[in-house]
Amino acid sequence: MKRFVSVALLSMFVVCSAVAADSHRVRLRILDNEQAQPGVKVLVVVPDGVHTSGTTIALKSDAEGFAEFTTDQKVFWVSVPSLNPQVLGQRFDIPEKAAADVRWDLRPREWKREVKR
Amino acid sequence: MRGRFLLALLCAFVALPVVGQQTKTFSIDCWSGGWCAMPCGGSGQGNYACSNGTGAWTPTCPFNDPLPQGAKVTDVVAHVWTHQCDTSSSWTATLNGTLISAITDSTQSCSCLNSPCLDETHTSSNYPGGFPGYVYGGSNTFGINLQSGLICVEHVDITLTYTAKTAAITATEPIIPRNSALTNNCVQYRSDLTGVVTQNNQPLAGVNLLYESDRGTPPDTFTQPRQATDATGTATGGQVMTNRQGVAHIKAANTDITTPNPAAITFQEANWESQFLMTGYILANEADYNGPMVTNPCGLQGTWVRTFLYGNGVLMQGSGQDLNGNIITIDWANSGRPVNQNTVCFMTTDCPHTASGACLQAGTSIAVDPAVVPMGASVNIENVGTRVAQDTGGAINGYHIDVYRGFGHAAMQGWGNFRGTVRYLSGGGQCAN
Repeated sequence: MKRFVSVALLSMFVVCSAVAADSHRVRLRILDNEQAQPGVKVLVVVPDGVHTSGTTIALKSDAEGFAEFTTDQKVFWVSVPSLNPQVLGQRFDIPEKAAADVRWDLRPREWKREVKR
Repeated sequence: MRGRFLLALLCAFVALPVVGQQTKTFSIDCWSGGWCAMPCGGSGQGNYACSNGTGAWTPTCPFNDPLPQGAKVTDVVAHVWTHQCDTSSSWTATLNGTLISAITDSTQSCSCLNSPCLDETHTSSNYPGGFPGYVYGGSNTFGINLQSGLICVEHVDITLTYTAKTAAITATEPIIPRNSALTNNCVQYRSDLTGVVTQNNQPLAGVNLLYESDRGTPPDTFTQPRQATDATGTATGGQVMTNRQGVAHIKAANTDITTPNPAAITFQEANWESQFLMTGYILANEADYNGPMVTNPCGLQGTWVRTFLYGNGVLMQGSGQDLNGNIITIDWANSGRPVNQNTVCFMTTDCPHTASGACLQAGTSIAVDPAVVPMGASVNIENVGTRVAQDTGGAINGYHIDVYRGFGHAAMQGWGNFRGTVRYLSGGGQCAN
């Protein structure tokens, strides 16, 4: 009985925590030479709390160059291999007090590979 | 039983380090940004990246050659500290594009909560002639080329196995070789060289050691060892010759041999290899002469012993000292030609002048063959001391020095001709080649 109560409380805590976490709709506009890029493959990796490699979300930009996803995490990594195959996993951090909708203009061709040395 | 013994013997042999090889192990870490703690021996959380873009993934990682000069890489081992995040992942590890090895791993290890770290060990083939494409003294690039699956990398430990040859060079004190000639009034120097070649602190036989100087050739020219290094790694028979004064640093010219401490040779003071005949000479002193007197000879007012002026005294020797201490010399300007006892005129002077125009002084002046000893040079003569080459003489040829002693036979007291060592000290004109 005690174990059941503990599990129930833990489950409630987890659920409540998840509900309490801010969820953001992230809109990424893919630009190249200041031109929106429709139909571009965009890979987004977000932490899933389980896998070290996170969860990869495969997106394709729409007619206006937007790729959109929702996350409750504060960090994610973006790759646009067709525009910059050298830089995989450009990091973005969602500000603490960001609105529910977050938008970034991305210029993948200008990304530089960071070498930690 | 015999089989076990052979197996044990084989294992023991394999376990022995390869003589003459060294290893260098270092870490490279170009991967960061992941959010899990990844206990791979690195600095933990955030210090990894995955091939799907988690963190700052990069398939390449540069590093500078950490090996000493002259090293040659024969083997490469790379420990890639990894999480394998797919049912199976395949990749290759390369160094400057040369394959180290390929790995396919089906062991999944991709949990934030429990992250066993895989040591994916890439071992290259053995390259006795050197790992292809390795950049010595420059930048190299380690590469991970994922062919399928998904991996995360924390860092990579690389072990380079290499050979390194070094030379220790010793040089004898320079000498001025027998029968060497002056060049632009500079003496010729020679120093004998001995080189010991080791490979990772072990003597290396069979190496054709070559020498070079930091001053170039010329002015420093070499006689290279005629034979390769012996069992002790030693090469003898090398020589450096030069006529330029100053310091030369001698090192191995072989591209695969380093000389951590080049031999520094100072070409300045040096003994002549040949011994010299040392004789002494004096100028006439009237006190040593007697016989008829002569009054008011040409150029002088007074009376002197005739043979002092006209015998083997002033007329023959050029100068002499009379009983009053005056220096009398031939007045070449007013004497007739040829100069003889009928045409000679005399004059007094402050000192007897040498062939170089200097004042001849006992304790300073010597006469030399100017083809052997540079005129004006300071030398140190065994059992005599430091003297200056200021005079010449028709009978002073080759390795012969005539030491000026002063006036009269008394100045030769205690002198005996001998053969001895002469050391060049300095000077001798414009030796600036």
